[in-house]
Amino acid sequence: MTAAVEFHNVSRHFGTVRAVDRVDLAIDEGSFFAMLGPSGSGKTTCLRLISGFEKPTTGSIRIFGEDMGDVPPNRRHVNTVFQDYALFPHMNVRDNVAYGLMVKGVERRTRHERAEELLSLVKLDGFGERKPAQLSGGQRQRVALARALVNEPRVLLLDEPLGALDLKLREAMQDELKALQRRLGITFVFVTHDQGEALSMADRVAVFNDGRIAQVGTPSDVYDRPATRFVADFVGSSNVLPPDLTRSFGGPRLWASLRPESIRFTGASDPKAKGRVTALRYLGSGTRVALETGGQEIAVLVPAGAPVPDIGEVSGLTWDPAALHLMEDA
Amino acid sequence: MDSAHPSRGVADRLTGVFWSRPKLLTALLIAPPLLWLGVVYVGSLAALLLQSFYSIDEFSGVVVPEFTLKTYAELLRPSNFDVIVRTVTMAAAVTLASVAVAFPIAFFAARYARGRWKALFYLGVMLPLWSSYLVKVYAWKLILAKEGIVTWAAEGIGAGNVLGAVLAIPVIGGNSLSTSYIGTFLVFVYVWLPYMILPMQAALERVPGSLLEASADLGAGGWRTFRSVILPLALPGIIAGSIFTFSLTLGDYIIPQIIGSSRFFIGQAVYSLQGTAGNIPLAAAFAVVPIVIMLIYLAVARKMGAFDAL
Amino acid sequence: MKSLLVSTTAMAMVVANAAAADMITELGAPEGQVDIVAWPGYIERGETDPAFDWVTKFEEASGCKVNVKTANTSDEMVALMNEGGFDLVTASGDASLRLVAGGRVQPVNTDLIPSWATVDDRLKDAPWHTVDGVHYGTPYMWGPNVLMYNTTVFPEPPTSWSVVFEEQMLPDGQSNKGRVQAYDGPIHVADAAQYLMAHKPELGITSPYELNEDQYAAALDLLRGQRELVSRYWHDAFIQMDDFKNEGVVASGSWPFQVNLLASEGQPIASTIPSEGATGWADTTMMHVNAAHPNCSYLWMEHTLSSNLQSDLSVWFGAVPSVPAACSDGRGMQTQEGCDANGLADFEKIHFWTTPVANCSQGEGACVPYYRWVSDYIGVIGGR
Repeated sequence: MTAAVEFHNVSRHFGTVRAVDRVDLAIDEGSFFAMLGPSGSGKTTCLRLISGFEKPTTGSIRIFGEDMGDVPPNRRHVNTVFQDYALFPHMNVRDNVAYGLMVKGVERRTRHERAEELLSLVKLDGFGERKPAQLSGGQRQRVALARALVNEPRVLLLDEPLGALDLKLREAMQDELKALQRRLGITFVFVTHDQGEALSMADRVAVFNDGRIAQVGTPSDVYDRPATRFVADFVGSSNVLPPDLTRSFGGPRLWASLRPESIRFTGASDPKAKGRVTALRYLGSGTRVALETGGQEIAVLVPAGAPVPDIGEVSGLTWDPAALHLMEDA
Repeated sequence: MDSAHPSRGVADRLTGVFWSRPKLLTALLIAPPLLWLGVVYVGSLAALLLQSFYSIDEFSGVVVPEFTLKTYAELLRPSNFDVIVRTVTMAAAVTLASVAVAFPIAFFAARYARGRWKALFYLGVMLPLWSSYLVKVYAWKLILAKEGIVTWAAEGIGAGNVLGAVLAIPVIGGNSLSTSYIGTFLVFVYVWLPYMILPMQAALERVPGSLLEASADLGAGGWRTFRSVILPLALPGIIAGSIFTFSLTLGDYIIPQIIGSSRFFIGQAVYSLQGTAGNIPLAAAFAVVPIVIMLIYLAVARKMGAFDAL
Repeated sequence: MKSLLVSTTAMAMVVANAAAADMITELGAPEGQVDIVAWPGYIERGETDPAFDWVTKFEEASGCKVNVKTANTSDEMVALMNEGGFDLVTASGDASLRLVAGGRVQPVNTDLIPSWATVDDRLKDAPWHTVDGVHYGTPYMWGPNVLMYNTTVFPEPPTSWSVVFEEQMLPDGQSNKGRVQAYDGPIHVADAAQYLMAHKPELGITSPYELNEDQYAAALDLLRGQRELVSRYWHDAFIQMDDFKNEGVVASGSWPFQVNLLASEGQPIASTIPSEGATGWADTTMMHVNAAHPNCSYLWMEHTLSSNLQSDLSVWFGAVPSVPAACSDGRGMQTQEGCDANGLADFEKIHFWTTPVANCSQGEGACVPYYRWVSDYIGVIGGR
């Protein structure tokens, strides 16, 4: 099976800045692929390399096996949902959605019918006459989605599409997007800096750091088995243990990650470790307890209802040996 | 006594008064310009309008201060109507040409020029505005003269007959560039171009780059994006610029006097009808013409949605 | 708009100044300066050409500093005098009577000007500055509107204005089409009328400024033909000079001023007064009704008549002195021959600019008034 999108040793330099640095990547057709990373890590540039708004400094990009070296954005069968939605303010919603069809020269009535179908798909029936300025953020997001889908792309690129929405709406849209992707069966490439969003929606996640891909894998791969210290820290704020601490925690002298939710307090006489509570943070669904052990701070997530120690108290800690995940020093 | 509020000086109290009655300050600030606008500006305009409804006694040449539309009927006389048609045609041609010339410059400045290049752009556009208008027009007269540099250069590169053919075009041609409508047109475009570039550039700068990317992303080529996205969004700027170029051309009486075939434009007609001629009513009626044309123009522009983005 | 304000204030001034029009009867101490509105080139202090200076000596002798504000049109002069702040103006025939009627200038006491007696008798009571026997100024200078021509094209001076009115072959074998100019002001209708006086006597024109409907129509017809010959009408003296240098113009009605300047630059330019005669101008030094420096003003008026001014200015401007003696008594550069060449001998053939009015010597309302000259000439230039 050909990959929907392939990067072969792709770099994109802006002056001396290496925004994307020797990236190899393959995105399977029909998958929901997330590019996760902090701002400036190169994920958005990678998206723009796919859409064609950036050209690789070196390396090559293929879409469905076809080299994109000299294919301009308007000739790629790829569409984008922009971060700021980029709706045309002078057109009503229907014309915005039908824009791609108008460009193709589709006759007016047909393209309006098709636009209405797509508006119905994103649950905006009857909004066709409105101007973008008359819509809420979530509605604009849906219009942008409908507009990008009108040309029936084989790859849909989404650049932080939920970033501007409030929490509740964002969660609802996450489910909708996922459902939509399943229904349409096309490849979604999704850029986000929100690890929760990436993990909950994507089939596969690429974690970006400093223009490079730190790890590619399923959500549980990157969450439970981070390949590097950076991934462990960025995805789910894991406890990153230096080699000495790993050793004292019963592992080899290597860097390791230990999830806060994997650690439990124990009253047993021989705990795997002991720590003094330095701070408590109430999260609603639980409490995050900061402890000092072996000159290092580690976090423990106590689920709601379980007893929480007091500040200053020294508690014993324990965990499932399999939870201690060893990784590269990077 | 509360030490946090020491005794208050006059200025401090005044600040307090203005703070508690914000409208008072606004009213005080706006009153002088409003008076100026109302009395001097609107007042003189009203006087002008009034004069245009008077007429001149055909016999004595004395102004008869009685309401009549006779003077406006005078405007329809072929020789006067020619002046209006000539001026409006020139203003329209100058405006269209200014749009065409200004757009690439404004687009480049708004989309690509950064830092030093941007500064250079502003300097380049504004520089001609800093030198005297008359000096520029005289300079152009020399450039366009029969024995001037354009003729010389055209002959130098063997294009003398091309220039000759252009000048042989009836109506707009003439004995030389500087004595033809083409010359008048060129100088008008040169002189008013900055007034088109600047508002256009401001409008283009406000168009987010992502809209152009969105258009390309949806399959549009450059021309389609230009027509469907850039142009409609730049329209308020183009209209603003065209208001300048159109109205400035309508009112100018210096350029057509120095460059061109001496056929009168509205401004020249107004100028020569007052003074010794004493035909103030007709001068006023002529002066009302550009005002009416601009009002119509703005109404049409509004109808076309030019101000929707404001 | 400005002219509306001007004319209303002018009307107010007529009322206000009716009583103030009393003449000065004796001179006091000079005030130290005098402010004059003048045509360009009229008041020279040796800055354009060191040989032409009629101000420095006056300033030294009288202690009155001379400040000059130049104006390019009669309307501008009237406007400046209406604004006030000036003592004197060199008003032409189409401005002088307006200034008198508007109460902008005051009568001049000729007894306080010793050289008044030397003024050309034909000018002393000229109607453009004398109203009901009262003198409103001293004659300054007069001259004809000459025919300026290019001497390489015309080895012999043209003898008729027909070179600018009717299509013809010029001596160099090429048509005059596109190579001649005419003045863009409506007063040029008078030049056409003057030409018709000689060539169509059956029209019965007696003065080119007093035309009945038929005579006027004939003049406009002539001008319509002229439009075919003229690429651009001239308005500004310096632009006309430029057109003779760079636009291939070879003949035009003009002022001696342009002729002399072009000749001094070495251009092949000369001028003539053709057989039909010419229109002309006669300027008067007039004094503002509220002149702040009357004593210096009177001293200047005397100076204009008695010094080298009349003689040298007539050379400079190609004009004719208002004091005939200035042509021959050696006070300046002018000679009798020079005066005759500039038009002194043609005085009777020259019709001086005045504003055409409806009530003329042909009867009440018999003549076409100036405002129609204006609108019709706009049409003629526009090709109607």
